[in-house]
Amino acid sequence: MDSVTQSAVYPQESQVRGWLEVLDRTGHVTQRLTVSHLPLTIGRSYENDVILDDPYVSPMHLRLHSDSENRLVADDLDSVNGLYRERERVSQIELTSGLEVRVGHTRLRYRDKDFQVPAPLVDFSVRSPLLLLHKPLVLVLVYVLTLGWLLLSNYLGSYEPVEITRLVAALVAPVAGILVWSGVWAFASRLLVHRLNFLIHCAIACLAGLGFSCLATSLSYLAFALNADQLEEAAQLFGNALIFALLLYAHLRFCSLAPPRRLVVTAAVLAVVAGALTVLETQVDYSEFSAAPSYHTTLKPPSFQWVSGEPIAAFFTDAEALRQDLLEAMPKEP
Amino acid sequence: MLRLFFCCLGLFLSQSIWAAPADETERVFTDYKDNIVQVRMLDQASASKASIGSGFLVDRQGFIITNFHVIAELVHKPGQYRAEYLFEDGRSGKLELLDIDVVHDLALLKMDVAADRFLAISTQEPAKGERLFSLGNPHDLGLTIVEGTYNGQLEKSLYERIHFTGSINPGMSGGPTINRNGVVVGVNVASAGNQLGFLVPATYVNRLLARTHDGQAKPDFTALMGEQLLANQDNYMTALLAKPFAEVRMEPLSVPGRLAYFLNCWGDTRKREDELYELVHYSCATSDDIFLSDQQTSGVIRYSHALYNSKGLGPIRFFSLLEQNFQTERLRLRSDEDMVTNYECNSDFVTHDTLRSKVVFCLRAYKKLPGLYDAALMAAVFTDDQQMLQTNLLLAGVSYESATRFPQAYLETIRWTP
Repeated sequence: MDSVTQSAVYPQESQVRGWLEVLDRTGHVTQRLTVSHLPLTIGRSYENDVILDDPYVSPMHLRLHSDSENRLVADDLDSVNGLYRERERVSQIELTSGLEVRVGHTRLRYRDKDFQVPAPLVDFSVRSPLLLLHKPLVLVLVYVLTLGWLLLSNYLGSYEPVEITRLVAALVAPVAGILVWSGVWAFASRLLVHRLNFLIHCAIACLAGLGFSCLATSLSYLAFALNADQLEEAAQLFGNALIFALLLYAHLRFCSLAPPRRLVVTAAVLAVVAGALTVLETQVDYSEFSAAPSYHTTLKPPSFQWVSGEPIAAFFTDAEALRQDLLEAMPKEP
Repeated sequence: MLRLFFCCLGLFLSQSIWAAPADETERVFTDYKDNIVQVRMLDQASASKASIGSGFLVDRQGFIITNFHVIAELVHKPGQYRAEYLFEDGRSGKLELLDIDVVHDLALLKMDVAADRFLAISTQEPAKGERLFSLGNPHDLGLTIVEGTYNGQLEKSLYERIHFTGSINPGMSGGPTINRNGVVVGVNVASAGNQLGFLVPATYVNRLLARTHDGQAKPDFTALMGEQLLANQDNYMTALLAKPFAEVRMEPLSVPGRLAYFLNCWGDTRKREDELYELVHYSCATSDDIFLSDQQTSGVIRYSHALYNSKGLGPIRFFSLLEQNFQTERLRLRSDEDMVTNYECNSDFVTHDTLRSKVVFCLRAYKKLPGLYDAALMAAVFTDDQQMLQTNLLLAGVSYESATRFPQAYLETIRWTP
């Protein structure tokens, strides 16, 4: 209903006084109309200079003209639903640059011809490293790295003599997971941008998988080295949320035409929500009763230990803090 | 003719030998069955029985002895449950809880009427092999008598128990095991199946009765449980900590071995062709525990050592294996959320006797029994990149002092002795 039918014949530059913008509900401009010769009329009937297809707009709704002091003025032509500035109904109003009025359900904004538009945004997308994913060599490199890392992880996590068939068989589940995940994004790409981009989505999923795995491994060693098991969980949560945000952003870049800034916001919001849900789940798990001590600890070769140990007696002196924590958490007698 | 004579003699002798005990069992049952009651725990809301056990008269005032675990809900949820007695002839009435001995799993109750008979309690240990008769209500099937023999006291038990070779089944708990003269030798308490029954020695019944006759009736039972558990752990912990810990060799380390007579220890070595490591395992544990509630046990000591030797695994693969096995889940103990808090843990690197270790120490408190804790210790003792000892220790129902002193002494016992 906010659409405007206007056969715009562009006037001479000297005749242009300003621009009338028709806005949608989110404030985005859907149409711009030149304000040149005056007076001009706005309404739903076809004899107007500007025709609004809004059933709440009267056939002859508004008249724009210049007053004695050459100010641009809008007059309500006794319309049924009136002329509004914010919530106030007015019969006449001076249109200054930036002023927004409402007729029926249509929002109109006037811009003087001298209106200064904001500085242009710098398009970082032309420098985005994601563009590298269009290069076949990069894709192959990503796939080889991922498979290599998976093989190495399986090898390091096994205690039996090495068997190639077993190592390769262990690749099936993660590779299938990557293919399914990428397939979903490729389907979305096909619907929205009419290109599958399947290999690119696969590469994005591989990179994210590498990121998650490398982060977990490096944080585990760091936690052991510095005896910071408690910090490891927090750092991993933050790192995983960041990688998840990057993963979503990269997928969205290849299956949406929306501006990068909007994609960044979308990916960040989803990652924050996922992170918050993880924290919530952890808190619920932590508060649940457990018959065994639920304590995560890292164990690496002793050569990775960077901090020195304390004497046994001192370690057990620190247990007093545990006792105090328990006593504080104890239910109080009513 | 001679053959017929021996046949008749054999028949006569066999009847003489086997008929006498059968008659005796019948006599014992007839003579003493009126001293036995079924102890029923009734849910107040539904007025229905929630659990059953057995008990027996020990005094003309109507005193009845049973197991603590039969009537534990009277202590934990006094508003929800009440106790009743039921004689075989159908007489029933209310029971009042007078005293408990939570460590030896005994409780003293009083009927709402006086008794015209009761069982005497033995002050002497029977001879090994003496025929005994256990009475009770197995599975609510009615009063039953079970023959068995006295096999002495358990040697590896922290809590004294008589080994009775006879079938004790659920529902017989709290019932008496008597000799042919009707004197109570022990109280039915547990079974390990296959004719392996366990009794609380009569000594503890006498002790409980003497204390109650001294006028210590109707105490705060929860507080009393706490006092008894603290005193009990103090007894064995003081004895354990008074002398250096016994050691066992796990090349190239010395580690805590069998620390007391009441610990049962086992060891084994795992070598498999398809695994690139060897595991030497040694573990000790108390063979029994103290019943606190259906979900909570206490009075337990449990520890184990696992020495891992790499057979060609690189350090990263070897320690990946060790990290996976370094889980506190092994220290799971039957726990009641209403009775204990969650564990709180500390972790740090510790140095001792040229050894470096990573140690996790966890503590949880008993909510209703102030001063009592469960402690769990996990330690990874590094020797080199190809060998490591993992050890864990669980102490249930100990004071804070014991919860910290014992694990400290335990860790200090681990030494490098190549």
